[in-house]
Amino acid sequence: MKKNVIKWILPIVVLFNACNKNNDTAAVVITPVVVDTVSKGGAYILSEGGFGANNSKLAYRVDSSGAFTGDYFLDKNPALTGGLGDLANDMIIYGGKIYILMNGSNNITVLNLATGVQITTIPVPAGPRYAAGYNGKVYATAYDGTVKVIDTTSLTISNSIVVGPNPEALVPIGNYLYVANSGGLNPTPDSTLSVVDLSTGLEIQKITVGVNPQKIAANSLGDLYVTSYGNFSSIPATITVVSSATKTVKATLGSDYSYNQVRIYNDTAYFYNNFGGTGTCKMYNTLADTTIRNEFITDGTVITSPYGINIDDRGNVYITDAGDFVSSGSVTCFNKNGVKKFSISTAPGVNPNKVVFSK
Amino acid sequence: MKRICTYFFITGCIIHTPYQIVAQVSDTLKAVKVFSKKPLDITTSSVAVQQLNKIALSKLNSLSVADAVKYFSGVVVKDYGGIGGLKTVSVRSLGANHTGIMYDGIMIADAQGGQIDLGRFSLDNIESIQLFSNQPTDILLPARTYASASVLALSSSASNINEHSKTEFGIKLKFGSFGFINPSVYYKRKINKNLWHAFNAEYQSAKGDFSFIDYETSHSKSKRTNSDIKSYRLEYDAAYTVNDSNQVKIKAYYYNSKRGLPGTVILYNHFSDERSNNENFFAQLSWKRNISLKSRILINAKYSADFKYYLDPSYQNYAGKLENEFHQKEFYFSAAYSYNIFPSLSASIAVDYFKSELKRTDSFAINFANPDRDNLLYNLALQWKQPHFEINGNLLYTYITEKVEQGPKADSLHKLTPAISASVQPFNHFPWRIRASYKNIFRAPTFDDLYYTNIGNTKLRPEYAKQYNVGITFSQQPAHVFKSIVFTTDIYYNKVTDKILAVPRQNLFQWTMLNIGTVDARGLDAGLHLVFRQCGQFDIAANFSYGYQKALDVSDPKTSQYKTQLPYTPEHSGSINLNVNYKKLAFSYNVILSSYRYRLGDQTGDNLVKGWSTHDISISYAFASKKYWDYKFLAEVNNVYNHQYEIIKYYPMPRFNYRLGIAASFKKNK
Repeated sequence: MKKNVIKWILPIVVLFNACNKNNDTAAVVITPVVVDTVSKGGAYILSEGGFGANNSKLAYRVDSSGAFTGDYFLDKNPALTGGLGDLANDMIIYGGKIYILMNGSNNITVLNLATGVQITTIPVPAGPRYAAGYNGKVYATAYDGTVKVIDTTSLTISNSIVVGPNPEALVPIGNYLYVANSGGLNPTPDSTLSVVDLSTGLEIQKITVGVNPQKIAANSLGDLYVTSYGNFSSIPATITVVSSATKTVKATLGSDYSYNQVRIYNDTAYFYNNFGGTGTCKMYNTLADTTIRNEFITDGTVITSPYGINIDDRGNVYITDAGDFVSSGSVTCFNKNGVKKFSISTAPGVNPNKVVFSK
Repeated sequence: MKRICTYFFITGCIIHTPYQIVAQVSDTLKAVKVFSKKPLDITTSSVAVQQLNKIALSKLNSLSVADAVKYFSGVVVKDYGGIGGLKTVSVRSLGANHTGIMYDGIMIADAQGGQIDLGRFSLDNIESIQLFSNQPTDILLPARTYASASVLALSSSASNINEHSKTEFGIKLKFGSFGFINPSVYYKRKINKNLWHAFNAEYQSAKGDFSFIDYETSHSKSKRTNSDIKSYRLEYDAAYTVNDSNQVKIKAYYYNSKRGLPGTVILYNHFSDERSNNENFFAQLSWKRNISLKSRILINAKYSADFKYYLDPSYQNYAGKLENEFHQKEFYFSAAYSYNIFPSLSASIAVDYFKSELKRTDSFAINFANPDRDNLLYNLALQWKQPHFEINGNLLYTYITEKVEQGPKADSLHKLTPAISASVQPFNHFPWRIRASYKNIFRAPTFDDLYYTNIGNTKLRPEYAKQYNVGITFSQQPAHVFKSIVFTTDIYYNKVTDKILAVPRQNLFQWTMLNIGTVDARGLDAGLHLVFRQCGQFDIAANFSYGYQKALDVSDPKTSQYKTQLPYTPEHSGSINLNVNYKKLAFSYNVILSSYRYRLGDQTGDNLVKGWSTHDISISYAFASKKYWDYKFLAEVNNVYNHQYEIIKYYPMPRFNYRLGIAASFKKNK
């Protein structure tokens, strides 16, 4: 097994080195080989890049060997010399395909999960933001106040559902889709959550949450944790808890919970992107409504600008670090106790924001 | 006597180098009038200076001042491509905010952004461009002239008084690739022996839809869209000369442009529809008078009004568009007095006051500070000047205070900043001179730095620039091969501290301005100007410039950018300009070169912007017909090797393109 791993990884490292020299890349990151005998899959790491900088990157890290390809997209699609495009905002794996939401390039880039080869790009002129795969369809918010419904066979937009202004994250539960309407491009942002009936494709209700809502995560009870930016000055960032069963607000968490990002795994919420809350990445029990601990990280590892948190099916927590937002970022994987397992630079990826996993 | 630089005057011999111009002017002028612009000798100046005069400019395939300034060494022109693209100038890695722009003797300012788009100044009526490190070394200058790290002085054709022709009239038409049309007209008339006036108008229009090799696949072609511009400029000048030592000049200027902002080429998304409109108006008055043989005064006054409009017609807000409207006004008054203490020693004092106002009238106006800034400057200058030795020193006091309509405001500031420069010719018989200069100056935070919605920071301190320069110059008229050799080289060390930079706070939506940058720049500038002896009917001249810059970001040792080269700053750059005149034909070959750069401090392949060079050819044919008319035909071929390059990453520059021109000028002496 070990022999195989080394045989496998050596050419990759060499290749990577050679590649880097050609590209004038300054730092070559050779990650220590971590042999994970359990998993055969890998982690896809998306880096958003800079605004208008055309430097979005999709990277891939093989779980078993730790082999890392910094520009996996270009590697698998060498004819597309320009690369992935501008401002990759979100990525999901659904039905054997990777959907990447290119907010600057105004499309959804669809890749074959097995090969990494681009199948098509679906134009979304208003700029796609976030996506969720559900019941054979992919739903994607677009900045023009709509949710695009994508037919996953024809890879075309089959319907456009009108929601609120500048929608961001979305979560499907039961027969409903919940969409955060940020209205963030207006002097006075929006503060509602649209409830869409998936059988009719129509918005049936708006639930008022915090000002400028962004992210949504659901626990096993169907409670939605909605984060809101506020207005960056007088109105702070808040977290609102909405019951999907009653479609009403259950609670608003206090000023200790002033975060703009949330991820829920096994009913534990991870709050990050601190806007004044206590702790860089706070763990919260959504069933007991109690804070587990203010710092998820327990071994003193420092994450400068936590930009994305994703948790694989074994409970490993991947925190992406955007650092100074202009140079290459990094991803650190922690076990569920907050102890670092490994860390890799996302070079050439700048502003890594999402990690998804294949089995 | 003939006018030195008529509009389309083509001399039999090339008078191209600055030195030659000097010789020519001093040969032909009867007497030096107190108000006439003294020609500049770049080799005797105590500060580093580069210049291009009318004739040199006419050979450079340049359309705007920004294009021409690329031939200077030590200069980085940020050129976003196309005729309508923004073009700003940073000198010796100090940043565009440290470059003062002077138009016909009075500074042009933008209190809002602090950077002037030099693409807006067409070369149509530019008589000369001079770039001074520190400031010009005349003793009688407004205090404001001393308030920048370097001064780019533009002189319009109206600044060149021609007392010998009564009526001048000219018309020009240029057209070329990408829908470029550029007509202009001027008229100058001497009304009586004391009064003359002049009018100049120019229109420019271009579609700007040039093709470029696309970034997606690197082999097919795309076209730049939304890159159009329509602009016009009107200028009126008048001068009333009481006598040789007493003259009043007035000038009115208006510029109007409407353009598309093509923006970065975004991969897979070439849609672009943002627009920008600009209006710039100013009226200025300048009065120069000799009170006695020893004392002189210079009074300047100016009013300027600028309007900036920005539209994003597909912005995804409630209104379905984003509009910005900014109005700026400035009232300026300056009084300067100089006194000749001894024949070699002069002293001067200057007091300037100006008031800058910014007002916002769009939907964001409700939360905007609408700042109003009072600036008071005093300058004391001393000059010791002999043929072989010159020393200039000054002390500038600046007081700035602000008022705002709402919200916090910046603190007032008082600063005292010095500059000193000297030039010496050690040996009488060797035409070598040595020069050295030092200047410490700052730039105040701009209104954008202080008050921009959500980004501005009223706690900002001024950004300082310290400059040290040592140079050697050489000027000779040898008997063989060369008619003239002029060589200058300078090495410099610049340090910028408290550099004002936009820094992301928590994410990419939120930025703030902070005084966090420190820049250490070391460099070398060199220029060589050669005029060959006439060979048969051929006149040949060549100019070379070279610049080396090591401009390091030394802000924070903890970051990966520490000690990396500043973004978009090439280590090596240079230009070559070769001119051949044969009878009525003039031929020029112009090359600009730049080594690679990075768009950010992080030196990755993604941030690499490749080195580039452009090769341009210009051919003109000029002739006089009958008594009063001169004609000129011009053909310019730009980027002859069809090289695809970028100055700013993902802003492609035009490849092969051409311009054709015809000009006719009329001159009557009675």
